Amino acid sequence: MNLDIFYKIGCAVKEWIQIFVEFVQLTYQTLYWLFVGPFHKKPVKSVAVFEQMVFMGTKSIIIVIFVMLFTGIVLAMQSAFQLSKMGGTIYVASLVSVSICRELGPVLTALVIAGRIGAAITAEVGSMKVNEQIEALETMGINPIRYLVVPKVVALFFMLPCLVVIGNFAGMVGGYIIGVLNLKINAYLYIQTAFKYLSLKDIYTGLSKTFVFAMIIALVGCYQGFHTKGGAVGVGRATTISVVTSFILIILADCVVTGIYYFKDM
Amino acid sequence: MPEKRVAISVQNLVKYFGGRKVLDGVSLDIYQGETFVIMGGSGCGKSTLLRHMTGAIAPTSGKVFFHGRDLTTMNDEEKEKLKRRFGMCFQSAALLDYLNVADNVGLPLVEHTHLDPKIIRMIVKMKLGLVGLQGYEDLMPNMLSGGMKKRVGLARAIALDPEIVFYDEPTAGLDPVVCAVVDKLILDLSHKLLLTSIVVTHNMESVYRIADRAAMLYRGKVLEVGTPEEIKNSKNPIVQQFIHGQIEGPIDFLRLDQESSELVDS
Repeated sequence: MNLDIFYKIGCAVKEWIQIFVEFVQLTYQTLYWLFVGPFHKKPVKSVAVFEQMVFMGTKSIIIVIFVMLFTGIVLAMQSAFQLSKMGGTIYVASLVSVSICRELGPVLTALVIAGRIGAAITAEVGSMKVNEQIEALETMGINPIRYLVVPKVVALFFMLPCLVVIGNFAGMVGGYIIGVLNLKINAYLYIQTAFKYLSLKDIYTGLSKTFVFAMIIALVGCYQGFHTKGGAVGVGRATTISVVTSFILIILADCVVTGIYYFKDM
Repeated sequence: MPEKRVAISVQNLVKYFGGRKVLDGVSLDIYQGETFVIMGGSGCGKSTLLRHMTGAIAPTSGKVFFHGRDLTTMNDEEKEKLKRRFGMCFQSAALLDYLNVADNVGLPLVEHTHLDPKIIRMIVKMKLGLVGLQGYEDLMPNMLSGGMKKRVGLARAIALDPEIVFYDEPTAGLDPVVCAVVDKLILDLSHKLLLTSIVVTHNMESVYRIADRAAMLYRGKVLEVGTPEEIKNSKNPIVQQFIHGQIEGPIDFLRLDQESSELVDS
């Protein structure tokens, strides 16, 4: 039947709307427990926030440095190859610093963290869900959003920008390594050129994105965790969906935020 | 004998899951201080009924009263307050994996009271003593056997000195000796702490051991309510087949299997 296809489309649209509504509800409740909850004598435990900060922030530093250092090196090598044809290898320094701070640092760090932290959040919340632990919390009168989600969102909200700053620095060090050791640019000159074209605006536009990315990673991770069903297989599936959704939303949000800055200045 | 007060009253409860009627007009009165057992085959809706009593899920129609107050129309805040007067013991124990035994048992105290950590530690010790697990405070849940986990779950359920404790299949998956131990524990606690206990089980030995009264649930309906003796002498062929575990009889297990698999799908 050709009506069948309309039925299927209708069902799919309905499902998407439902997912969207539930996601907005989760966001609303998270904000409620963060800002309104403390006035009802139900504050979020600061210990839980700090624990999450250590797990999400401190323990991710190595991988962020690793990824961004090599990104900086590759970026410097690729651009040096092109710029040397025009005799402008000195501009490798500013090219690397501006592109890392504006774009690559925030986005790549967010993607790495989505893979590491987003997956961990979904797996943790998801296995708690399938093992009745979420229900146990509810039965004890402990709101799972206050107890589980808010500390994660707050911790990542503050930790991701910090990681991005570290990542930006590592990326620039990567560029420096190629610029000074391979291209034989004077170290002082390299640093001067790197910061000559890097304005404060480049850094804060880059950092402003990361707050959005942090919310996306934490909330998508928790959302998928709360909607896990079907035992271990379900946890695996939810984790995959969580990471993929975070990746897509991060790229989309990056496009939107960059677009806002771009068209605002026109 | 003093006049019996109704602790929980379920009236004409109906619940649909994805178009399938799981509870079909259940009405029950549970008196204060008694140990009430809800028994029935897999997928007959007994766990669903329990979850309605704890307020975890909302019915399609019908009401649940707790000391005369309607649980189904309560707002979240009132419900959360009320839930502190409940304790629930889950089938899988549902201990939080990342907390040790003492922190698991102490969790409701930490979240709902402003007691000094030292006092909480003492209460936890006492509660663990009641379930015979003193000295296990620092172990993690994954180091415990199934029976020990259930006892820790029980200690957590009674941490806030509840009036009512719900048990979801407390003896499922335990060997006969541990079953008897858990049953004895349920009885002891009920008598020592003057609890109202509501137990969901399909273990007939447990029913005879612990029940003051029992209800037999079959395909979402209450077939029989009475003392274990009355249930034993019931004229209802379904009840007789169930308590003797016979293959031949009015319970069509092929059809039941089919229906419970539908339930899982939805």
